[in-house]
Amino acid sequence: MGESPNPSPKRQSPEKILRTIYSKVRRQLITKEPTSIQDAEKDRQTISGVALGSNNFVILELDKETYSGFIDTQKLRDHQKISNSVSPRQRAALISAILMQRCRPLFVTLNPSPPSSIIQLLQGLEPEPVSLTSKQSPQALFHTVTDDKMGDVEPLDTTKIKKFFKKNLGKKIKLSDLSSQLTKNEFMALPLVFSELDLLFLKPVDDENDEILIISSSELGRIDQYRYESVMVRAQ
Amino acid sequence: MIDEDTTKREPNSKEQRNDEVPFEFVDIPTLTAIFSARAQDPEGILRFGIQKKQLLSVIGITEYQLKSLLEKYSELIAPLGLEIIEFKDGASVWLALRHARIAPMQLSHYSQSLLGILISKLYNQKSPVNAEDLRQDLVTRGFVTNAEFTNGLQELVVNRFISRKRGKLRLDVRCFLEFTDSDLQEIQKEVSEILGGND
Repeated sequence: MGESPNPSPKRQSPEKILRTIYSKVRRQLITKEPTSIQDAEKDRQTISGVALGSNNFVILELDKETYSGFIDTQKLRDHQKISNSVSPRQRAALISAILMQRCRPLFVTLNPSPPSSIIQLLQGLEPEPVSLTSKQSPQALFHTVTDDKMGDVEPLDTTKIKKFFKKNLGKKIKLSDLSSQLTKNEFMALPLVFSELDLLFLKPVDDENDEILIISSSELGRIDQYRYESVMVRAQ
Repeated sequence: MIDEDTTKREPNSKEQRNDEVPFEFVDIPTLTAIFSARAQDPEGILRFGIQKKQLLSVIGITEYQLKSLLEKYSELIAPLGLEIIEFKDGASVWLALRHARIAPMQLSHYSQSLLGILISKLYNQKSPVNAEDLRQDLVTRGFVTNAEFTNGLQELVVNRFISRKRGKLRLDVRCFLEFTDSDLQEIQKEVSEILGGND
C-alpha cells in the first residue's frame, strides 16, 4: 500500500541500525521499563538481535529478556543482515507477539489480578454520568460525551484535535494539559475523533500525576493492562 | 433456603409475568462473579463462566427473561470494554465474560509461541499433531527447550487452548473464543512464514 519501491539512498551498517533501534525502542517502549536496555547499551555484546514483525513491531532479546516496541521499520525491512540473523528463539518471541496482537481474552479469575473494570462490577459500581469539568477521569468524560451530549455537538473542524493526538500518540500527557488544549466542543467530538483514528486513553494504576497514555487501539495487546486503570472504548 | 427461593418465583407473581428481570433480583456483582468464574475438573482442565442451563435453574428465570437481563448487563459493561459471550463447549451452552477489544493474554511467553505454532499446524487441518513429534522438531530446531515445551503444552491444555488425547493435539474451545476465524487465519499465515524461513 504505502510501501515505496525500495528507495535505500544509502545502506546503513548493521551496528548503526541496531543503535537506532535501541534508541527508538527505548523511547517507545511500552511493555517494560527500559532500565535493562540502558544497561545493555553499555555492553552491546548482550544484545542478541532483533526480529522485525508486521505493523512496525520490533523485538529485542537482551540478557534472556525480551523487549518489544514500535519503530519505523520501513527502512530496516530490507536489511537482510538483520532479518536473516533472527534466531529460533527470537522467532518464537515474534510468534508470541503475533498472538498478542489479536487476542480478546476471556475474564477468568485465574488472572493474577482482575482489572479494575471487573472489580468495579464486583463492587456493584455503575459508571455514573457526570457533568463536564476539567478534573475528570477520561473514562467519565467519555461516558458523558457518548451518552448524553453527542446529539448537541455542533459540526466541528477536527483537524486540530487529530493533529494533537497524532503528535501525542504513545505519550503520556496530563489531563489538565489536554483540557487546556481543547475547547468544550472539541471535547465533545472526542469519541468521533477516537473512532476515526482508532485511539484509546489509558490511565496508569498508580497515577499520581493525573496522566493518561494515548495509544492506537491496535497497540492495546502489547501493553501490560494491569498497569492501567481504565481503558476507554470507542464511540459506537 | 430452597423454599424461600421458590416462593420468590411464584409463576403467577407480577415479577414473573414481567419479561424484564430487575438487577435487584440478580445483582451486578453476583452476575459478574458468575460470568468470570472458573472451575477445574478432576484432571485440572479449566471450565470458564457458567453453563446456561445451570444459570437458568439457579436463578429461576425463563430463557426470554435471561436474554433481557443479559442485554441490560451487556449495556452496562460495554463502556468498560467487556462483553458477554455465549458459546458451545461440548454438548452444552456456556456464558462467559470477555474483553471487547484486543488485550494481553493470560499465557506465559513460551506458551504463546507454542500456541502460535500449533495454530499454524492445526487450524483448518483435519489431522491432529503428534505431541512427541512436535517436541522433537521444536527442540531440535532450537525454538523451545524440553522443559518449556512440557510446561507450555500443559498450560495450553489446562487453559483449554489445546486438547490432548492419547498424545494427539487439537485446537480446543478457547482458541475459537479468544481469536476470530480471520485472526486464526492470519496467525497461521504469519507463523508459517516465520517457521519456514531461514532454517
